[in-house]
Amino acid sequence: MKETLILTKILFKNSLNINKGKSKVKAIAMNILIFLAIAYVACVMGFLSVEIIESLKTINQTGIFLSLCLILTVSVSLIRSVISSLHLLYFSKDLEYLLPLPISAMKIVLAKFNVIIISSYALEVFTLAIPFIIYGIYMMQEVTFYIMTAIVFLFLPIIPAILSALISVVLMRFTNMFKNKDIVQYVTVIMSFVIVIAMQFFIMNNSEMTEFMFANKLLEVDGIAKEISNYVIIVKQAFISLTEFESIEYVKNAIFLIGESITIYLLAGVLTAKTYINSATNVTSGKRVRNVKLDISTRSVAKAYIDKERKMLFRTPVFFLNTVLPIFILPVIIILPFTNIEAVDSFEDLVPLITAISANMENPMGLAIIVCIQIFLYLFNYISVTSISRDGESAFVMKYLPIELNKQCRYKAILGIVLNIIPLLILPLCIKIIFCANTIFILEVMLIGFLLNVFINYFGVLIDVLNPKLHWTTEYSVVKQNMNMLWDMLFVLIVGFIFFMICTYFENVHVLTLLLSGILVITIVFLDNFVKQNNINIFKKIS
Amino acid sequence: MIEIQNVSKSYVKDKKTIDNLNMQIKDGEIFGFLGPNGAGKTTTIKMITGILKIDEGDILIDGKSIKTDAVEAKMSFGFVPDSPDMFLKLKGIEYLNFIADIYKVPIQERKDKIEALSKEFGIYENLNEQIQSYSHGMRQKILIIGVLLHDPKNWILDEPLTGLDPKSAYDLKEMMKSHSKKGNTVFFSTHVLEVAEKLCDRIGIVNQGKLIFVGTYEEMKDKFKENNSLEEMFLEMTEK
Repeated sequence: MKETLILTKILFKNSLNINKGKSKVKAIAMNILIFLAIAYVACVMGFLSVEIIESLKTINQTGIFLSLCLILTVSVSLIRSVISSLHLLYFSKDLEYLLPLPISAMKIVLAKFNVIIISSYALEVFTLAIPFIIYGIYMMQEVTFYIMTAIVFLFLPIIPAILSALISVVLMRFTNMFKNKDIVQYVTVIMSFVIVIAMQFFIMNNSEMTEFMFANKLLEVDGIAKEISNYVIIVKQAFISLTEFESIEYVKNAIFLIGESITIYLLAGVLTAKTYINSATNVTSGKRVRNVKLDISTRSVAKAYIDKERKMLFRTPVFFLNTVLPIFILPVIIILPFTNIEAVDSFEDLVPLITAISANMENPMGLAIIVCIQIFLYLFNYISVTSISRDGESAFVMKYLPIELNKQCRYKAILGIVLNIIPLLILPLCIKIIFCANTIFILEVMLIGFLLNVFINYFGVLIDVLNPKLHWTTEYSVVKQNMNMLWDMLFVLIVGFIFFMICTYFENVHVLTLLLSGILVITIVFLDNFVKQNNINIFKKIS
Repeated sequence: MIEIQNVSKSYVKDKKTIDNLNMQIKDGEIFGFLGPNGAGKTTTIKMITGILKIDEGDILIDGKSIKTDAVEAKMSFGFVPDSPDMFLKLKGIEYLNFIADIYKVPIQERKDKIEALSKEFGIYENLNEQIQSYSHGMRQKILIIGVLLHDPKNWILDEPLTGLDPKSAYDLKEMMKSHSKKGNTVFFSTHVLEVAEKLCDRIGIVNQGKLIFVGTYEEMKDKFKENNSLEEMFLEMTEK
C-alpha cells in the first residue's frame, strides 16, 4: 500500500512535468497566473450555474442541474481517460525505468490507475465541485448535501476512469493490430471523436420523449432529472445520494457507489496486472519495411524543412489528432446543430435575414465580424504554438543546422498558416456564395485574414520558443499540459479585440483594409527582424 | 581548424562551468576531448556547435565566428550529438535527404554516398523504415552517415562510439583517420581512454571546467616522467 502511494506520487509529479530550474519569483508569478486563470473559469462556471439553477427553479426542476453535471462528469472522465490511460499505461517513457524495478505489476497498475483518477479530479472541480457548491448555497442545502457531494466527488470518476483503462488493456492484450503504438493512438482518438459527434447527432435527432410524457415529468418535482439519471447506474446512485435526504435511500446509494467503485478498482487492478507486463513490453513503434528502393530527390532548404515538419507532425498520432484534426473537426461540431431538418425546412424564413445581412455587410463592421469569426477558428490551431515543444529534447538540432533561426521560425509557422484553410478560404467563399458578397470585399477579408493568420502563427512559434516544453514523458503532455497553448489563446483573443476596436473607428472598408494590411505587414517584418537580431537570447532555452 | 579563444560559460551566477578555455584543433589532426562526468565536455561541444550561448570569448571554425557568422561557421562542420534520438518519425532515407538538402549536396553525389555509406554501416536495408524503429546503434549510424554525407571539413562528435557494434566502431575510426589524413579536423569526446590513446594525435583533458592538459600522449608521458598508461595518468590528473 505504502509503495503504491509513493509510486502514485512520483508518477503524478512526473505526469505534471513541472518545469524545474525556474526562479522562485517566476514560479510564484506562474502560480498566481494559473490561480487567476482557474479563478476566472470558476467565476464563469459559477455565474452560469446560478443562471441555470434560477431558470430551473421556476419549473421545480433544479434536479436537472445536478443530473446534467453528474452525466457531464462521467462522460468527460470516460472519454478523457481512454486517451490518457493508453499513454500512461503503455506509451509512457517511465515504463523502461519502472519495469526493471522489483515492484509487482499490481502495484504499478494501481499507481497508474490512481494517476488517471487524480487527473479526473482536476476536471471534476469544474464539472462537479464548483457547480454543486453553488447549488448548495443557492438552494440553502444542509451539511449532509456537502458531505454527500464530497463522497460523490471522490468516488464518481473511479468507475469511468477504470473502465476506460480496461478498454485500453483489452485492446492491447487481445488485438494484434494494437501492438503498434501509432495505430492504436489513431484508432482510439478517432473513435472518441466519432462517439462525441454521434452522441451530438443522436441527442439532436432522437428525442424519444413525447410532448405529453415531457409535460408529465415536468409536473413531478425533479421528474426530468430522475429520467435523465436512469440511463447510467452510478449517476442514478449519485443523484439519489444527493437528493433523497428524507429517507435512508441516500445513505444506501452512497454506500453502493463507494462499494462498487472500490470493488471495480481492485478487480480491474488484479485483472490488468495479470497481462500488463507482457502487453507493455510488446509495444512497438513504426513499421519494419524491407524495401531497398530509395526515393532520393533534391529540394530547396525551405521545402525540405517544411516537409520535415509536416512528416513529423502527421506521423505522430497524438500531435496530429490534437493539433491538426480539431481544425477540421471542431467547425463541423459547431455547425452540426444548425444542420437538422427543421432548420433546413425553415430556410425560406431566413431569406429576409440573409438579404438584410447582404445589404449591410460590406462595411468595416461586416469585415470586422467576418475576420473575428476567422480569428475564433484560428483558436483551434495549435500547430505553431507547439512546434518547438513537439521536438522535445532534440529541439536543439535547430541550433546547429546552418539555417538562420528566424527562417526556421518562419518554416515552422507555415504548416499552421496553411492548415487554417477553413477560416482562410472556405469561410469567405461560403459568405460569397450565401450572401452574394462583392468579390473585392471578399478579397479584402481574405487579405486581412491571411495577414492575421501569418502574424498569429509566427507569434505562436515565438511563444513556444520563449518557453518550450522540451522534457516530457509522453507526447500527450505536450498538447494537454502545455501552458503555451493558453497563452496563445489569450494572445489570439487580444489580437481579435484590438482588431475589432480598430475597425469601429473606420467608415470606409477599403481605407481600413489598406491601413490594416500596412500595419500587419510592418509588424510581421519587424517581428521577424527582431528575432533575427536577438536570436541568441530568444532561443536560449533551447539547448 | 577549430579555435577556442578564452571561452567561459556559467549556468549559475558566480560558478563557471567552463573557465577561460583556450584550445586550437589544427587541420589534419584527430583531437580527443577527455574528462570525467560533469567536467564540461558536452558544454564545450554545445558552444562550439552554437547550441549554447558563449558568455565570454569566441570560437572560430575555419576562421568563422560561431557568434557573429553562425550560418557560415555551421556550414563547415558536421556534428553527431551524444543522444541519437532525433527525427524519430522520419524514415532513414528521409533524414538523409533532409540533411543533404540543408547542406546542398548534389543529387548524384548524395545517391552514391547514401548507398555506399549505408551499406558500409549495414543499414542499407533499413533506410525505408522510420528511425524510431532503429536500435540505439542504428540511430547513431544514421546520424554519422548524415555528417559524412555533406563531407564537412570539421567533424565534431560527442561520444560517437557509444552503442556502435565492433565493426561499425572500427569503420568509424578508420573514417576518422582517413578524414584527418586529407587535412581535415576531427574533434571528438570520449570516455574510452584506449580509443583516445590509439586514435588521437592530441588529447585535451578538462576537469571542473578547466583545461588541465593538452598535447600528445608522448608529451603526457614526459610530463609525468613515468611509463604509466593513459588511464592511470588521467585518473591522477582528474582526482587531484
